[in-house]
Amino acid sequence: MVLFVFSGTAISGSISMAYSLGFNGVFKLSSWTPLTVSLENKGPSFDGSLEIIVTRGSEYLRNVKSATYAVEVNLPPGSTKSFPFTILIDTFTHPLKIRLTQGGTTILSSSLNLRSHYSDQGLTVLLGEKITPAFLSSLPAEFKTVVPRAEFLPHAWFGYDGVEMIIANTGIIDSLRERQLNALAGWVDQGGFLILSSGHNYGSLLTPKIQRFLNVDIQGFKKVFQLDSLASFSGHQLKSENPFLILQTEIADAMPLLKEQGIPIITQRKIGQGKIIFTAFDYQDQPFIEWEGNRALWNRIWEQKPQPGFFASKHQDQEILPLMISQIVPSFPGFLWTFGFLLVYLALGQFLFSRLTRKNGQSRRLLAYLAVLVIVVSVSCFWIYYRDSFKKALTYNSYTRLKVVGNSQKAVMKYTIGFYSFRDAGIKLVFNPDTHPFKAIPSGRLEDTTRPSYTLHQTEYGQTAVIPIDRWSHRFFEVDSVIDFQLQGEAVMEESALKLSFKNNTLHDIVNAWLFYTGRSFSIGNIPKGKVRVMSIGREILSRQPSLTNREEILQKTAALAQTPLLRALQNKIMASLFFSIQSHFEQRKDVAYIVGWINAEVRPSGLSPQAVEGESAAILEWEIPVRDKS
Amino acid sequence: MKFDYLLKNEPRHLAAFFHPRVASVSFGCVWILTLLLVLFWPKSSLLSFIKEFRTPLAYLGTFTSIMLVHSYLSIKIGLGEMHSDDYFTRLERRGILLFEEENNFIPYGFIEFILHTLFMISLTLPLLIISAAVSGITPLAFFQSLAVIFTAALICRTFSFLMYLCFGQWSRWGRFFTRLFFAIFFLSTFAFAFFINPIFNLYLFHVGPESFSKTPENTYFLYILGVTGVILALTLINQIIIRRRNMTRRSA
Repeated sequence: MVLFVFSGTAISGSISMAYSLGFNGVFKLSSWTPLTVSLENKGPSFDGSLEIIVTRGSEYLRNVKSATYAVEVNLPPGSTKSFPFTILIDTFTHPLKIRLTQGGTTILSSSLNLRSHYSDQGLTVLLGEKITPAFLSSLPAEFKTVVPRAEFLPHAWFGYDGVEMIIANTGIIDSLRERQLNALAGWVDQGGFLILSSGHNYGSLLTPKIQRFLNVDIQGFKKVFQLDSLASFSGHQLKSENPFLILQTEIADAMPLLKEQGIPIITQRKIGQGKIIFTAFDYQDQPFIEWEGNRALWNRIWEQKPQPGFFASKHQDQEILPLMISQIVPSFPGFLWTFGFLLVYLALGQFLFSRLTRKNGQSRRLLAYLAVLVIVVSVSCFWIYYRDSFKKALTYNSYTRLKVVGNSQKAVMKYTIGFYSFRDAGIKLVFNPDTHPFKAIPSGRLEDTTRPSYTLHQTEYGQTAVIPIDRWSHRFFEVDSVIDFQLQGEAVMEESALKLSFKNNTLHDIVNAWLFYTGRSFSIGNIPKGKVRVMSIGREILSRQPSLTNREEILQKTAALAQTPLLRALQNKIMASLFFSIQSHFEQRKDVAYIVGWINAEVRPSGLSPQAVEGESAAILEWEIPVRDKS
Repeated sequence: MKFDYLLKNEPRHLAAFFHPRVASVSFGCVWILTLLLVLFWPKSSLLSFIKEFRTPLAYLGTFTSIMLVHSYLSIKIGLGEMHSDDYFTRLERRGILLFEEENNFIPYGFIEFILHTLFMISLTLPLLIISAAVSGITPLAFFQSLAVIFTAALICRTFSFLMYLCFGQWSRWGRFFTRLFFAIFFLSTFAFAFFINPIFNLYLFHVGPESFSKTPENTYFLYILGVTGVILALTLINQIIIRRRNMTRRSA
C-alpha cells in the first residue's frame, strides 16, 4: 500500500488507513478542499462507514459546530480503495477527525492537526514532472505554489475553491480519471484559470480528454533561436544560442495572445466564465528555465486571469435571513377560541360536579356524562392541536440568487434555504445527481457543547444531507450550483435606438424586471414564461442625463408592484443597494445591458426536494447581456 | 363496600371522590390551573420564538403547576385533611376506623389512591394537551410527562397516608413531615439527586436533553425507577402496618 507522506496513516487490526489532505498537504483556509482517504483491508470482508468530521467555531464564543462527511464503505478481503471527499475547513484550531465505523462502533480513527497544513493565500497548483526550483521561483509571489499528485486532485469542481491558477502539462491531464476531469472542467467553467503546455510530447494534445478543453490541430514543430514577441508581452526578449522548439497549432474558438512569425505561441480560450491559456513552448525546458524574463512572463500571464463575474446580490446574507424568518407559515392557536372552548368545558364540568356532589356520587348517568365530557374534550384537543401542529411543525422557505450571462442557457445559482421547526426533527436533503458545495450558515445561537451540524452522505448518485434541527429553532444552509435556465436575450445598438429582446423559456415568470444601461434604468415589466418581450430605447433618451429622483421612483414602483409580502420585503431591503452596486459597476460600460428581475417562486437546485411544508420563497435574477454595436 | 368510594360519600372514607370538599377543591384547582395556562400562554408570535431560539413556557409552567397542585392535594387527602378540623367534627370522627385502615392496603387503599390520582389528572387533561401541543412537545414526551405527574402525586399520597397511620389525623407531626417530604422531593433533590427531581425531568422535556452536557443518559428512566421503587416501598410499609393493626384488633 502506498503511504501518503504528507498527511497521515492509522492502523487497527486488519484495516489500515492513509489520507492526503489538500494539495500536497496544503489547503486554503475557509475554502473547499480535497481529501483522499485510502483503506486497505487485509482481513475478512468489511462493511462500514467512513466519516470525516470538520469542526468550526470557537469555545470562547460558544458556537462550536461540526459537519460530518460520510460514505458507505465496502472492502472485500485483500482490497484497497480510495475515497475522495471535498470538505470545507473554516478554522485550523480544531483537528480534523477521520474515523471508520461499523454498526456505530469506531474501528479506526485518526486526528490531524491542521496548523501546519493551512494557507491564507490562494494556491497555484503545478501538475507535471520534473518541476525545477528555478521554475517555482518564477511564479507570482502572492500565491502559495503546490505540486500535488494527480491522483489526489479533487473529484468535485468546488474542490478547487482555494486555487487561483493551475499550470499543467497535458500529459498529466490525460492521466486524470473521468470524475477528476469533470471537476477540472467544471472549475474552469465557473471561472477557473488553467495554463496548459504539452512540452515536446504533443501526443497528449490529440486525446479526447484534452480535446475537451482545446480542440487542437497540430501542424508540426518550428525550430527557433529567439522569441522577439515576448519582448512586447513581458518586457524581456528571449534569445538562445541553442535552438528550441515551438509547437505550431491551430486551436478552434481560441484567440492568440502572442504570435511569433505568424505562429501563435500563447493562445487563450474562454470556457464559460473561465479561461485556458495554451503555451506552444515548454516553459520547463531550456532556454525558459534560465531566462531572466521568466518571472515577468508569468506575471503577465497571471494578468490574463478571468475577472470574477459581477453578482450584485451575492453578499447580502445578513439582510436576507431575518426577512426569510419573518415569512414562515405557522402561528400559535387562537387565544380567544382556545379559552372559549376551555370555558365551555369548565362550565359543563362544574355543572356535572355540582350535581354529582348533591347526589353524593350516586348517579351513574351523571358519572357517565362526566366521563364522556372529559374524553370528548381531551380527544378533541389532541386532534385539533396536535394534529395541526404536527403538519406545520417543520417548514422551509428559500431565497435564490441567479446569474445568467448572455445566452449561456445556464444560471449560476446561490440557493439559501431556511428550515424552521418547533419540534425536534430530522431533515433529509437529497441532491441528485450532482455534488454541490453545501454548507451551514452560522445561526448566532450560543451553545456550550459541540453540536453536530449536519452529515453529508456521498453516494454514487450524488449526496444526501442529513440535518438535525432542534425544536424552536431555525437553520439556514447555502448551496452553490449551476442549473439549466433557458433565457435568450439580444441587445443591439442601432443608429436610432437600442433594441432589446428577451425570451423566457424557463418554467417561471420573471416579474418586475428592470434594465440598467450606462447609468440609466428602464422598467421592462414582466416577462412571463414562454413569452418574448421586445423593447426599444431611443438614442435621445439614452443621451439624457440620468435623473437623481429616478432611483427613488424605481424603488417605489418596484415595491408597489411586488406581489407577495416576502417579495415586497426583499425589494424594500435590497433594491437600493443593488441599484447602487449595478449603477456604479456598469455606469461607464456601453457593451453590457444588465437586467434585474424577480421570480415569485422557489428556484432550487435540480433533484432537490425538501420534505417539509413550503413557505413563501423568492428568487432574484441578474442577467448580463452583451450589447452589439451596429451603428 | 369495596370501591364504594368511587360512588358514595361516607364518613369512613379517607376522601371519597365526590365528598363535597374534595369535589370542590378538585374542580376549583382546574379553574385555577386554567388561569395559570392563560398566564403561561405565549405572548409573542411563533416566529419570534423560532427566531430567538426560545421555547414557550406553556408546557413547563402548566405541567409543573398541575403537578405541584395535585401533589399537594394528594398530601392533604392522604393525611385526611379533607375532613373539616373544627371541634365538633373532631369529636364526631374520634374513634372512627376508616375503610382504608380496615382493609389490606394493597388491594384497597393503594388501588383507591391510583384511581383517584388518575381521576384528578384526567380533569386537567385538556389543559395538559393544549399546553404540550403549543410548546411543541412530542406525544411520547407528553405521555412521559403525564407519568411524571402521576408518580409524583402518588408518592405524595402514599407517604402522607403513612404519616396518617403513624401520627393519626390532624397531627402536627404528620403535617410537618408531609410538608418536609414535599419540600425535599420537589426542591432539595435538585441539589443532590437531580435525576429524581420531577420538576427537573419536566424541564428536560421542555428544553430537550441535548441542552445539558452533564446530565446522565436515561434521566427519565432513573426517575421512574427511583420513584416507583419508593412508592412500592411505602406501599409495603403501609400494608404491613395496617395488617398488624388488624391482627391486633382481631385478637383483641
